[in-house]
Amino acid sequence: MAQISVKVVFDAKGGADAETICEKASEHGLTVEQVQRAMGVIFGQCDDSVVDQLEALDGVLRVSPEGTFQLPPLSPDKPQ
Amino acid sequence: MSKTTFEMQPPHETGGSIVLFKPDVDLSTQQSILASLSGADVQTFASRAGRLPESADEAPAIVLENVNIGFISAQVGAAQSESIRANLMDDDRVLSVRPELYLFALKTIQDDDQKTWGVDAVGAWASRYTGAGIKVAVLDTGLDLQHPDFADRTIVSESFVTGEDVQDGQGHGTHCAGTAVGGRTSDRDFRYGVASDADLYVGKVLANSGSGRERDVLIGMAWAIEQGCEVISMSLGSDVREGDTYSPEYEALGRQALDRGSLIIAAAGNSSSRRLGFVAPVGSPANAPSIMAVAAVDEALSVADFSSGGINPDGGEVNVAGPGVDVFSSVPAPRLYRSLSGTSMACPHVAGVAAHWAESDQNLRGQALWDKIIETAAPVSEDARDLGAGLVQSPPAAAGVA
Repeated sequence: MAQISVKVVFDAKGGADAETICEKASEHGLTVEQVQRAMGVIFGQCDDSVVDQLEALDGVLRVSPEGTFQLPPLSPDKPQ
Repeated sequence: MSKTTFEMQPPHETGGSIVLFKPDVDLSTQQSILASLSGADVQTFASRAGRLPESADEAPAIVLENVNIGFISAQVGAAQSESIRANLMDDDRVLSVRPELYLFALKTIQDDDQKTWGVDAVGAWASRYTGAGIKVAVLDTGLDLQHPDFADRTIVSESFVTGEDVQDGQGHGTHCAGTAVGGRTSDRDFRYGVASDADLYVGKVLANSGSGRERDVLIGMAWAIEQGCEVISMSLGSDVREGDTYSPEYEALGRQALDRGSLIIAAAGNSSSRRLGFVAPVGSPANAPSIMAVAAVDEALSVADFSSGGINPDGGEVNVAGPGVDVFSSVPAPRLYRSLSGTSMACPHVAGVAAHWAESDQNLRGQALWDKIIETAAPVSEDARDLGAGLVQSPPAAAGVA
């Protein structure tokens, strides 16, 4: 049971409605932080135990942890 | 259009032969074998440090003590050399025999007093194109907006990092922007930027700590496409495992970019340790099929030790290579300049060259620009898994009509 940042990928091309998905996802515990309609992605936070429920929502293609990027220290000794 | 190639020199024979005897063949037997074939006495020499005496050069054949190696001189003549080698190949006391070859120092390209080796190697120095009129986005840690080398440049900027402005507090973004579209050092007129007249679009998607959220990167990519940038350079990524596939969000944006006349170029990643025999797969987002993955070469035009390779299929291939070792470019004040290595440095070289091609022909946009970069890359000796189509090349002075 841990709070995680997730990206909820929905079927924007197939006509899935972002508002409806946000509403349903919120009912399942997703705190919606950002909606990218054209990209078909909702960013937010939820408990890791509800990921399967979010993925089962109509119009949702995939729910996965939001990735991060990390550069190494700026040094000639470390490939950048 | 002719292509520059950087392939190894073809083997060039001296006319002599090198013989490797089996370990259990004693020195006097080695001497007698070569003597019977060359028709002359065979001297032996100790293989100590330092050159052999002149008498060794004059002898028709010699044997080196303790290493089981013999040499037959070119002076026996080509026809006889071939016949001797044929006889030796049939002798079960001989492990191998082959023509002796001249060896050449590997060609390397170095910074000189006018330009970096990278600007030279990609043909930017010789090209008449400068990226003028082309919008190049660099999505990274931002830019040192006060850097003297970027004064008087057209710069559009936006920060996607919560609580941070575009000013680069880390240095990576200023270095990458310098390579892609920087110019010359303000103090000594030394050129390190590839597309020095391009318009720079700075999207800050990584924080001053060097970290970034995926959402900021995706939104930054969408912003650069929306701005109509013909070239989008992303020197960032995260590792993937062997067998992993690409993230569909990056592919969707890469595809959208190509459809709208933009080309997204990304660093392949630095997770290989080739000296130890490990080649890591191209990372994300460079592994998306519609995003161009860039590997790094060193000054000898060999694949860099750290450069990730085409291990995974379906977009995980390396597409092209750029200079990525000891690359001199700009960093924020007070330091102003620094040399760094990585596919992060190779990626903006490709972005700069892409701007040259886009300037050379207004039809070279999106997929057409991708195809031109691949088609004109200079083949190198390593295989496509490591360096894709080869070393990226700017349109030469006479180009424009490809």
